[in-house]
Amino acid sequence: MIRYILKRLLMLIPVMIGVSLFIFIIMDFAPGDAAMTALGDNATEQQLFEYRQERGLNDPVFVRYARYMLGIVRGDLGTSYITNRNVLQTYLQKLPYTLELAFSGTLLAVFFSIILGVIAALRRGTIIDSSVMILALIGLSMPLFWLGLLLIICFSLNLGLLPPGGAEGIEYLVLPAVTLAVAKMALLTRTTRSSMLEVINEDYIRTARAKGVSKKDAVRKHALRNALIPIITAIGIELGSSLGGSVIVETVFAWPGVGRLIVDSIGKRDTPMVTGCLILTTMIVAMLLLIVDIIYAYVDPRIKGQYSK
Amino acid sequence: MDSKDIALEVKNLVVEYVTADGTVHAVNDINLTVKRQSCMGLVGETGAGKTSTALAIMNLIPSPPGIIRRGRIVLNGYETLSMKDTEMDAVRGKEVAMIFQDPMTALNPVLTIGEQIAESILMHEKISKTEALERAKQMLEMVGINGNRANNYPYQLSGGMKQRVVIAIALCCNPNLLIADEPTTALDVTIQAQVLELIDNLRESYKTSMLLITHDLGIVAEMCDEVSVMYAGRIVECGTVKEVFTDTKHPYTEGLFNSLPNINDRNAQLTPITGLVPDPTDLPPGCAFAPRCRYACAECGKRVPKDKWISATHMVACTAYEKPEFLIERNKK
Ligand SMILES: Nc1ncnc2c1ncn2[C@@H]1O[C@H](COP(=O)(O)OP(=O)(O)OP(=O)(O)O)[C@@H](O)[C@H]1O
Ligand SMILES: [Mg+2]
Repeated sequence: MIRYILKRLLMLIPVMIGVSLFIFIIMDFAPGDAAMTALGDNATEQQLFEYRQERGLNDPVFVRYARYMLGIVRGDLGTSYITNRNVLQTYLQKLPYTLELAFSGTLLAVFFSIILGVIAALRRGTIIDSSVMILALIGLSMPLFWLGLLLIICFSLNLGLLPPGGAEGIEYLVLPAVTLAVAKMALLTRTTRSSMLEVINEDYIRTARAKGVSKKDAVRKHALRNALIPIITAIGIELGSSLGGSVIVETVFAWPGVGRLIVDSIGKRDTPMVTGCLILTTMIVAMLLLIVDIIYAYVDPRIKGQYSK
Repeated sequence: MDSKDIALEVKNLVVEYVTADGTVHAVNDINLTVKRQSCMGLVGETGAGKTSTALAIMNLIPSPPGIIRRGRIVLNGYETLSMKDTEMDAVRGKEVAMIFQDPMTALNPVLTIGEQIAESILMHEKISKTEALERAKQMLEMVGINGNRANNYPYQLSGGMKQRVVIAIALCCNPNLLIADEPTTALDVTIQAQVLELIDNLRESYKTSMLLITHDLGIVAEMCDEVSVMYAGRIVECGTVKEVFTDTKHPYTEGLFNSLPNINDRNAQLTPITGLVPDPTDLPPGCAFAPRCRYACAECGKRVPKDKWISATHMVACTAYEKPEFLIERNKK
């Protein structure tokens, strides 16, 4: 198991190199650069040249990349081209907001999805099942920004119950978390339902019933645990996808998370900031997936057996 | 016959599956009796409705799409089809137990085999969990698996061992009736014999009655006292093994025998039954075997043949026997 974890962590290194190189090249191809965004339209050629010279922006892309990677080896994720602030510090300042939103949104979604998914599976083909599935479909196809705006209009502007944006307390979290949860519930409910449906017709459920286990206990003790693997995978994916920041939700609710930081930095051609943030996000998501893999082993003994080999 | 001597009685059982492609007539009005402590074989081609019959006896027909349309099932005196869910849960595993066709999928992959055997004991007896696990180990020894493998998960066992565990689960509460649904079809030929012998020995020592489902006439000859031949959801012939094997009456049973390889004459051609099993959503109006039957006449396609009792135990359902002089080829020499 330990060896497996180490192997997975080592595999991260080439991934990081690939990710950062890719970003450097892409950002180089993009029109405009940090100097132009920082100094504005009225800057003279001379001013731009000096700005670039100070930050080494006149060097070829591969030289800049090599310099950046040398920094990383020393544990330095670089300095912003625009604000001159340390990338790691800026990221860490935004991260708690993203974590807060990602976890609360996902937890909310998991709670309701599992209940709805199991009920839909057990009541397969009935009106209850179809209504749950239609709700999930609506959740999946509804544009997030639109849902966010709708919630703001309803709960902030009309009812005045909750703040429309910002992040100054727990009440500021409610609307963004709910918005995010609705989007996540669509996938999670469908996964729970289909995985439950698959398991419920398995032979071992019939074996359990043949022993005299009641219908309810067959679901609780035999089906649910077997259905859990795809559900845990889906939870991992959903959580991972919002750890990089949920750009749309963060934008609509003026939530100061990582997603907005990255998008802003791309707009400003702030290559070190973008690269640093994405490397850190990749690391966090990789850790998360590793944790998910370890959980698998506890849910399914077959997987545990594979690790020990 | 005294009702005390009967372990299972199935009367006029009709099982259907209502699907989008039409209604599958899986079991069409069958009667079946298993005498106490005897073994009844149920043979028939794939799709004949053998598993559906077994599941109906367990009252475990998957619903939807399945439905028990009509019939009575009396299990050791209990009318199971009219029972409440909780009552039926108490009967399953205790009065009647089942060994399933495919041991690879019959065990829960995330529970140890010890837990799975113990669960069955805990369902029906008031004992502690530790005692139940102890009993589970004894059961494992009984089916020829070392007791300290109780902590193993199904994936750590071979197919034959899994089937032994399934047998242990079925027999751990000493049921009156054991239904074994093709218990060896999914196993290696070498292991098949071992598993059959195990079932036979345990059945003997536990005095369990058995319904053995198979499509292998060799297994029937070895294990059973009586046999029922099923075709397209109907019993076409039943009787003691001796009667059915030596005095075969139904053309379909004859066909089954003719399609077996003959050890004494290795050069003899196998003669499989021509044609295909009828579509169970659209059975022919009369005898379902008529389209494939070499003796079929116009009358056969018109009405369902009546049961004709040749002796107290031997029955054939074939319209041709209404003519007293009728004989199938096998009986002519
Ligand atoms: N859940 C189901 N839904 C729809 N049709 C079904 C279902 N289960 C069985 N059937 C149909 O019912 C008929 C009888 O099936 P059954 O499984 O009882 O046959 P069998 O004699 O056990 O065959 P085998 O030897 O292949 O196990 C078949 O035509 C089958 O396709
Ligand atoms: Mg079957």
